Amino acid sequence: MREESMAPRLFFAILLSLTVIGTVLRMYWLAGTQPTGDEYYTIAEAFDYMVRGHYGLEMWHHPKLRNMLVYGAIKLFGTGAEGFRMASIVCGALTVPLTGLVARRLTRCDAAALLATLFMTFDAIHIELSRQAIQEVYMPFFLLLGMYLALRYLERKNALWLVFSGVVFGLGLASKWNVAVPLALTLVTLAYLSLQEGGQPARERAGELLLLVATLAVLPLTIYVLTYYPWLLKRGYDLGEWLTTQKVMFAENLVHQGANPEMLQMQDHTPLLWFVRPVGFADFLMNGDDPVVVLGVSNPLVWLLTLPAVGWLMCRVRSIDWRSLLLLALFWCSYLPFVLSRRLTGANTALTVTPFAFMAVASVIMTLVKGKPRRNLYLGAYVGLVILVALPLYLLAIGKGYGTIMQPILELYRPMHER
Amino acid sequence: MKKTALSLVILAGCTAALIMLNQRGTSARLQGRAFSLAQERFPAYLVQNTVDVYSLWQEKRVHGRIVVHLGRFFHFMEAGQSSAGAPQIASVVADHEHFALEPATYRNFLWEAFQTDIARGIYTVLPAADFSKRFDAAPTQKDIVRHEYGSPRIFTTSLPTIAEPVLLNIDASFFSSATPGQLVADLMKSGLRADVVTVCLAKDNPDVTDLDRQKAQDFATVMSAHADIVNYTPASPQAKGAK
Repeated sequence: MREESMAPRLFFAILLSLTVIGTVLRMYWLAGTQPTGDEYYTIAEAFDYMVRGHYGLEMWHHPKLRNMLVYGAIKLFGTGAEGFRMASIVCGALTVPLTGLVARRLTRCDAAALLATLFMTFDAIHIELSRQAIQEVYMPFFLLLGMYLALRYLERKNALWLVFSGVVFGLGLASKWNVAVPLALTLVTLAYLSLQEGGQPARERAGELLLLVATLAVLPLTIYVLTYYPWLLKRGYDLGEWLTTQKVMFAENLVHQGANPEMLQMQDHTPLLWFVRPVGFADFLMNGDDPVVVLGVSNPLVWLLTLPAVGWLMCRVRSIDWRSLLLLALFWCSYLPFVLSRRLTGANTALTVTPFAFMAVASVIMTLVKGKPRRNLYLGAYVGLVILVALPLYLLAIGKGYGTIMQPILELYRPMHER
Repeated sequence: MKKTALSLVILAGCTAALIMLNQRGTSARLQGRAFSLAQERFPAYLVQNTVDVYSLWQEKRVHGRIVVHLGRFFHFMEAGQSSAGAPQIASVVADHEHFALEPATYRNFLWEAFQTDIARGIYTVLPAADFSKRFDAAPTQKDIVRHEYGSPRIFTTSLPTIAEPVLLNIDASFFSSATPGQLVADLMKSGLRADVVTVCLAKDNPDVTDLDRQKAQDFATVMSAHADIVNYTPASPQAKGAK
């Protein structure tokens, strides 16, 4: 795949526009909605954790950064819907440009980067979860920011980029352990590239490897451990006990079935199907006295192209460069553990995979239309269709689909005992 | 060279941060003077009601501790929410310390000790028959380890070996199958160290028999050969303000 760029000013102007659109989509009609059940527990637990050091009931088997961010957001922005959801809104909105910035470096094609950004801008599942005070949107944000900083280090060789990358990856780990996959792949890739560089004395290479281990292994793990400080300092635990509790959390993660069987019934929880048919993540909340169903459904015109696109890239694995190889590895190493796992995994977790899926789809589309006489027409038609499908999905994602012509879609996710 | 230096600074900084975190964690534990039960004469409190044990812990301002509780019951029933009606975010935020506002009872005083950070781990030593019955455990199994959202609860049939000083509570219900003399002998053989030792007559617990209470009283008498027994009455029942 060859480098293909547009004027930087144009690239960043489009990227900024998509970011603004993405932010508006994630904030519109937010104030009117009440918290979901998960959010009530999340907020209570944020205080329980920060004030008393307790793990609490809500997803106690996941890392604890969410408690810190929700607590901080409420302290800074108040108890309104924007207040307790602020961390998710910020992470969700900033994930849009980060998708473009990372895709630009992995695909070496500005148009593909912008197309991947557009997919993220309008992705209904990402929008839905950006509007909830839970940790799902932290993951793509931190992993993309961590990767962006690491890739900047490759360009500039300024070690500070790598230090920041390590800190950000650490915060990603403290959001959910899934971020360990892109972190490990980034470390391996940078180490490989460093060893491949010719003309460097062995001592220089050793120094480079030591720096990579310090910044992308030790530093993220330390940041991760430090996010448990309320648990240790307020309750009197030590690091030995912390290690034991990590094992307990890991064991729970392997078998976790969720706290609410009814909620479980109405979710898509088969990762094998994420890119085979449209999948959704549903939740309920109240708007005044009215029930509201929020339902994020994957855009079939994007998600269903993922496996063909990844397959296409794999067929050309011998001719593609390390960037595309890294993209392929990021996709498969992020996705396969969910497919192979025996535990139930909701479509919400797909957010750690979708950035790479979107990049692969965008990259392949731009490669296929490259040089075609009516390239802009094809692209325009495709983008138009993607947005056209995204609009009703957006209404479902923000809770505006209930009682409308989209009701039949919502009915697909109604729990069995209510049918 | 600059990279190596930066790497070493990061590694040293991370190591220092983790050591400090560990040290700050252990220093958050608050305890009184600890006594080796086998080797020293130690103070022990004879307590009338189960909840008075909790009050004593509060008065002693202990924090972040391992509790060793000998008895037939778990005392771990979760207290209800103090706010009524549909929760609002403001009330959730305002009510995040509700655990400290609700009175402990004989049903939940160990749960409260967990919630208010008096305890960070609880060993419950059960009579063997109760252990088998509650956990449907095989005769060879002696320990069950559970976690209350990350905090350890260990159920066992014998006195545990714990390196640090503990809060030791001997509930009258334990004497449903234990004899006072044997328990004193076991305690003297154990390597336990404790700063607060309580013998609880559990008069507020209707599930404890008078016979067991009498045995607990006898236990206190036998133990007075090794300990200074003090009758404890809380300054103000459920003195939550102490924390």
